[in-house]
Amino acid sequence: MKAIEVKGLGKKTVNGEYILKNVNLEVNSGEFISIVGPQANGKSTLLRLIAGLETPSEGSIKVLEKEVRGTSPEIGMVFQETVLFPWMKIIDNVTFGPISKGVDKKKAREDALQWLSTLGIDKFAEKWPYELSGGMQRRATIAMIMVNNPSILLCDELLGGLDLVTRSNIADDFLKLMHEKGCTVVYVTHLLEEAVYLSQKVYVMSSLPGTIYDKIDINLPEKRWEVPNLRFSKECAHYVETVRSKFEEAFTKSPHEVEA
Amino acid sequence: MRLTKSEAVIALAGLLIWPFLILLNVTLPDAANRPNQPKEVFNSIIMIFTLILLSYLVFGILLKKQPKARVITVMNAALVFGVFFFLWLVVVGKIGKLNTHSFPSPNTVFDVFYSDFYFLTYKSSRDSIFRAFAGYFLALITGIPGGIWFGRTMRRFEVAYPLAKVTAHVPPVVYLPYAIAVFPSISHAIIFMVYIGAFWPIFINTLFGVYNVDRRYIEFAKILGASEKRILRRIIIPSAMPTILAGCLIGLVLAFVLLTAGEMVGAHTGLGFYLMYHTDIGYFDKVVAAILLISFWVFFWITFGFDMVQARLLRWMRRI
Amino acid sequence: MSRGLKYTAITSIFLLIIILNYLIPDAANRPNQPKLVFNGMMFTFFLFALFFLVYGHFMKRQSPTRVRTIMDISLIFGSIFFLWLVTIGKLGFLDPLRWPSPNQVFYYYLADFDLLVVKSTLATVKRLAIGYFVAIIFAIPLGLIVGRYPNLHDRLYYPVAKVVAPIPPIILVPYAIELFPKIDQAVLFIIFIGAFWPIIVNTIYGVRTLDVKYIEAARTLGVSEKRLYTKVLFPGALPSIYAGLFIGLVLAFIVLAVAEGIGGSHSEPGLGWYVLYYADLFEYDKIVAAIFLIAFVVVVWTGISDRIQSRLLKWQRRVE
Repeated sequence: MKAIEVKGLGKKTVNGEYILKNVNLEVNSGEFISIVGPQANGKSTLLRLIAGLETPSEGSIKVLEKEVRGTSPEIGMVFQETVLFPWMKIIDNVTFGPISKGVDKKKAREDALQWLSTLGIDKFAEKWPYELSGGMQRRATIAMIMVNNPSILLCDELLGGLDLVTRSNIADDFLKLMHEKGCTVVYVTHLLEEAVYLSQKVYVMSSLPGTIYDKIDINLPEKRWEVPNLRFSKECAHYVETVRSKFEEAFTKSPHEVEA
Repeated sequence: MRLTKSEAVIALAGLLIWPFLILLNVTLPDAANRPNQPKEVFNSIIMIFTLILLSYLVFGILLKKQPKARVITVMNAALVFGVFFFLWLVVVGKIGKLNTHSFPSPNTVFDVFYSDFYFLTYKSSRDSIFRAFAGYFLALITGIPGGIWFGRTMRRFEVAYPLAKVTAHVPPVVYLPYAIAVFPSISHAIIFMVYIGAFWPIFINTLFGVYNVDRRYIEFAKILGASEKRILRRIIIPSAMPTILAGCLIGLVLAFVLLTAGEMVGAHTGLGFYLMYHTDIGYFDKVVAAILLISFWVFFWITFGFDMVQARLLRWMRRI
Repeated sequence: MSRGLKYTAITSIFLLIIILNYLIPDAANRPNQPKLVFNGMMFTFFLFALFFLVYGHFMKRQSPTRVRTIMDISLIFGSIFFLWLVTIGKLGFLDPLRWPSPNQVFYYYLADFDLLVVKSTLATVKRLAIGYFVAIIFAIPLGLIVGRYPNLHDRLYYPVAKVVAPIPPIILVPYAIELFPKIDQAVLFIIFIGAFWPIIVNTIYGVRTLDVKYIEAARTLGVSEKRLYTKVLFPGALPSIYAGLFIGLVLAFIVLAVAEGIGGSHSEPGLGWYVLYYADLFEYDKIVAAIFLIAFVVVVWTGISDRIQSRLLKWQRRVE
């Protein structure tokens, strides 16, 4: 089944300039794909469109074979910067989603604690967000989304702004989690190594107006966290190199040529 | 809890300056132009204050129930005001160079609190505080919902903001004649003025706070499946809360300004009236007593009312 | 309905008001109202709206949101004046003493031109400007200095400000009138006190919440102490200073109105005095005229200060 189907998608600014033009994208159910591209080329806009936060100017977006109209409970999204609600304790942040959907408070709390312990931050449940480090906050955000059981997860720079060790720790835990839950993930980043390590397919996007330039399949073992030092292996480096050359091509070629 | 040397000095000096004032008052002879000042009330009030400070110090430092920085700030303030009273007592009451009509000594001023206990300390305070809170409360229950409603969309904000900005600047005192003409009693008219004075800052800040809520919070809440109502209650209002509270504080200060203004111009009871009445008949000891009492009430309600509510509502913010 | 049609309808409200004013006979309880000034005022409003309709909307020289806002506001004002004229002036609702018709009210701008529009307004604006600017000149530099030195702030400023700042400045009016030989000086002193605290409080807040990075960066660039104040601290604190200026102006105006009301006379007029003086004579039409004039002064004043503000705060990204 197709989890996400984007056809001929275009998005214009208020001034009528294209941010995205003729974007075509298909993501199978349970797939983990990454989108890489230069900064400010409409990657985030693409995610917001899929999430239903904005409406397309042209083309169509189907999620689980249904046209996107507004936000839906099937889709979870993590924003570029950590968005924990600073006026709620961690536990209340995590139960926010389920309670919004009518889950009773006690059950929501149990689920939330379960997720916090899965992510290793249950001891911070009663803390305020500002009392947590950046990495912990990121884990809490993941818990906030996952407790809602979305079948599709959109991540915008999930690990941006974190140090290398924290980054790879969270990446492994996240990957394992997605594998267990069978989630479809669209992961937007500008770090090529991260895109290769996490995903089964990497899409390279060109610069303004953004469009899909190329697709690279990554054939690495499925349970990557079990392979020691996979991140630094030759295969991985090879894929990164491929993606990098495509990336540079997309970057140097004018949008005009891409369209043709 | 360990205090540094300078902190210990401030704490001790802030405490000891008060009994020292009593000692000076008793031992130094009164100024020649104001003999036989009634000292009992001043001395007793200072004594009570000393005991409060002492218990606060024991409670805070020895029993460690208060953060050290706060204790030091309080003792610091006690010291600064102790010095003020010291100067007042010595320069006016004991040296007595200034004229007795416009510069009463602290002994005579404090005596008013007792000799005029019924009219000043009890009745005027009661009337004024009731009016202040009635008006302020009305401002809260209309200003906050109003600000939320007008702040929700750009169109409403664009209309409400310029109008509010102009109207807020019109001194509500000028509505007083009208309020007196329209409302059944002068008390109601003053409550109305307090209401207008407190309303605008509360309304404008709520308007701003709600309008400028970070869009990411609202979008994230949507993604998590929250309804419009829940987004308003759990996201928009808490997020705007620091701005709203800042407006509430300005509103509280303005409420007292309008209260005293209205009472001075129009009323027949209350602290402002008391102040104005004794200005007209030239009893400046009573004028100063009223000034002190108004200042005390304003300080009291801000520190023990507003600040505590604010600390509770903004627990989630990192302290500066 | 198309937007152009809607805007044309709104613009023509003001013409409609003028026509109705001539066509419908005056109410029996208020015969022969002088219509000239009110109609002139409505015509000015009409020209203003017409400008935005033609130049802004049809010629598209102004942003659509701005035109929409102006039209929304015009609609609000137009309806208010329309209802006021019809219900009170033409149908004769409410008693004529306390509820004057717009024709009567606006007529005083001509009839009482000298005292109301010239003398009182000029006196008020002059006092406000001087007191307010003196407060600015003292409060901002002092605030920058106090904000820069934590010890000065914690040990001296904060304890004093915490208690003294919220005291309603109005209660010092009797004392100021006693101590200063001329009313003008007393009024200036009170305005100064009224505006001083909000400005200094916000300046200090601005400096203390300014990111230390900026100060450190300036330091590493070897910036002199003087340039640090003028080029880093002052501009950095400016957004917060503006919030203080806003509250300071509101307070200054309230205090001024009261002080004028208490101390003013025919030889020393002012808008606050004008309102409260005619309140005693029950001439409500003059009071309403004065209130509108005050609102007009505020519009002009805030308009000018907004221009200055947006020039000084060019570097700040506009919140859309």
